[in-house]
Amino acid sequence: MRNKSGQMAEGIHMMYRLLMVTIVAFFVFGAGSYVYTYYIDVRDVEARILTREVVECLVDDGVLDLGGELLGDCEFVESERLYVGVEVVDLEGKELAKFSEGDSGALWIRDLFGKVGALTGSVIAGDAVKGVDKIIQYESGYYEANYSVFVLDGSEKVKGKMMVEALVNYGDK
Amino acid sequence: MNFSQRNKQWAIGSREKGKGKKGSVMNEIIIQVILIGLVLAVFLFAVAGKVNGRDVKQQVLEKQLALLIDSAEAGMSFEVSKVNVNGFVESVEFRDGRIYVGVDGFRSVSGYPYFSKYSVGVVEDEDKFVVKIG
Repeated sequence: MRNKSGQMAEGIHMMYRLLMVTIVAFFVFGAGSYVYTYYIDVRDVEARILTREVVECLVDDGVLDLGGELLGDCEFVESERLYVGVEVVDLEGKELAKFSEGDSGALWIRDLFGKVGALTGSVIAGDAVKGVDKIIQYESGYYEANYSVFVLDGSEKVKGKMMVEALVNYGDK
Repeated sequence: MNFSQRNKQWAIGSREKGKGKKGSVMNEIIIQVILIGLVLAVFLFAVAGKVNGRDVKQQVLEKQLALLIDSAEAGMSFEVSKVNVNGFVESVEFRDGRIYVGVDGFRSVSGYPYFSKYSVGVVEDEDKFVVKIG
């Protein structure tokens, strides 16, 4: 009986040792992962490409047809990490159309990170915001561009401008 | 049996008992060393993967390919050499709008998303992968 309980105690002791070794190993691995992790940010480039793709999708031979499907034709924009906003104005600045596709909440995130980014650059904030650099990796990729186009609104064709803004969110799972 | 014979027998019995105890202790130590060694080996492999930067190389390949796909037109194709500057490319896969590249025995877990209005496929050749758009 005493022998059995002794074996049990030895087993528990062995499990305890193994558990401790595993915990230490995981701790060291976690610390190593944190130090050696490097994130390559390509979201600004993706935003540029997305803008170009959207313009190619919307404008045919320099003419933007407002009677068409608009962004409904551009299936690739339907990803949850993308947002595209388009504003069409005439040469006097009068709004002819405004439409968007994707998560508009991304704009709020962009504004928030804009403020954080400005803070990290400030000399007064100094060391207090060093840790913020890690958060900055979640900042959205952003690009906006203006294009001169002919706008076809019904049967009327006028000269106008198309302002496109594209936002690409964090892509890693 | 006289006193000295009994004493002799007792001494032999206790020596054998001691041998048995020593053996079981040795067995336990060996098992513990093997188990701890296994845990440490797994840990070392994981740390080595991180330190060698295989995940960074994988990230570079995945993102480069994703950007190429994003900006590609229908009918285009591009080749990814297996013996690559970023390591030995073992696999290139496309699943659910994501690209997964396996480098130096390091399989991609999360991949990287791409957006394209065209269908994307990959063909494995002897020394390269050919990614075809459209």
